[in-house]
Amino acid sequence: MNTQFKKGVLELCVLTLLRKKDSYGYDLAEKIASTIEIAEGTLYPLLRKLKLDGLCETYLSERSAGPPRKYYRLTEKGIEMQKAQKKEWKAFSDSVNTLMEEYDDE
Amino acid sequence: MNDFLMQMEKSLKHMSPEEKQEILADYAEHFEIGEEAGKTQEQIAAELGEPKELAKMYAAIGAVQKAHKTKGVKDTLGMIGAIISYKIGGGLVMAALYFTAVCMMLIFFSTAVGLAAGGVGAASLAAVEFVKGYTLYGALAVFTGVVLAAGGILGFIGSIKLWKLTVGNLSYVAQRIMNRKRVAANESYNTQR
Repeated sequence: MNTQFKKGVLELCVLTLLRKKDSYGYDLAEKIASTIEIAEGTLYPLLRKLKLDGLCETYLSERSAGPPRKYYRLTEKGIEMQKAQKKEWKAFSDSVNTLMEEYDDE
Repeated sequence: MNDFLMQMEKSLKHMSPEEKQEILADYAEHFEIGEEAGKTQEQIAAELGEPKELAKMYAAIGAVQKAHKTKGVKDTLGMIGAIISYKIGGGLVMAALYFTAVCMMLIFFSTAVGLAAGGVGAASLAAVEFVKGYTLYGALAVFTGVVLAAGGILGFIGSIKLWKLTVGNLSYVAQRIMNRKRVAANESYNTQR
């Protein structure tokens, strides 16, 4: 897929998944990679940046078997950011669709 | 520790031990879960991408974050340094922008100080004449001096504000470049496949 499309959208994807429910890195990576082709490793720097920006926080979740997992949870600020980015994305994709409907004859 | 993690550790050399450990733990967890799900280490590493590219992203995030927070000269130079030394691209452009900003600030600053000093000097000299009795010209001269001094002081405050604005925006520029680079890392991975 075109690089320009992916730009910025990865962050919206992560924020949207986390707004639905708390999750851990591997799960987020799998979910996103199943729809958008990305190097899964780039998700972790992004998560770190979101945490530094105060959009999400982390906690360890104990499991009956195996070591605890690092979970990510959106903060209030993160929820607001998701809303704002979603609005931007919708407005953007709507205008592209409108233009395509009007001018693309194929 | 597998090849991916070892390369990652090597590439993260400029990070603090705590940060390094945290980052490595994230990827170690990723491998653990992937292996539980039945994937091989090679498969997981291929899906993750290049450790070197990922390390550059971490370095830049840390440096930009710091410059963003403090807006200080030292941290901004550190940010530019990290961006240049990690060959992320755009570092030289930013260095040039920064140099230009510093020069402009120095010009603004000295102009403002000159204006303020000149204004104060002119006003006090004129005040002496005014007291001696040159009423209209004296009053005008005092007025001009005060206006000059006020302009200089305003310019001084303005140049401090402008300084914060230019340095602050530089870290925004850096963030934009990094977003682009994140995409580039994805792209190089996609073409490799």
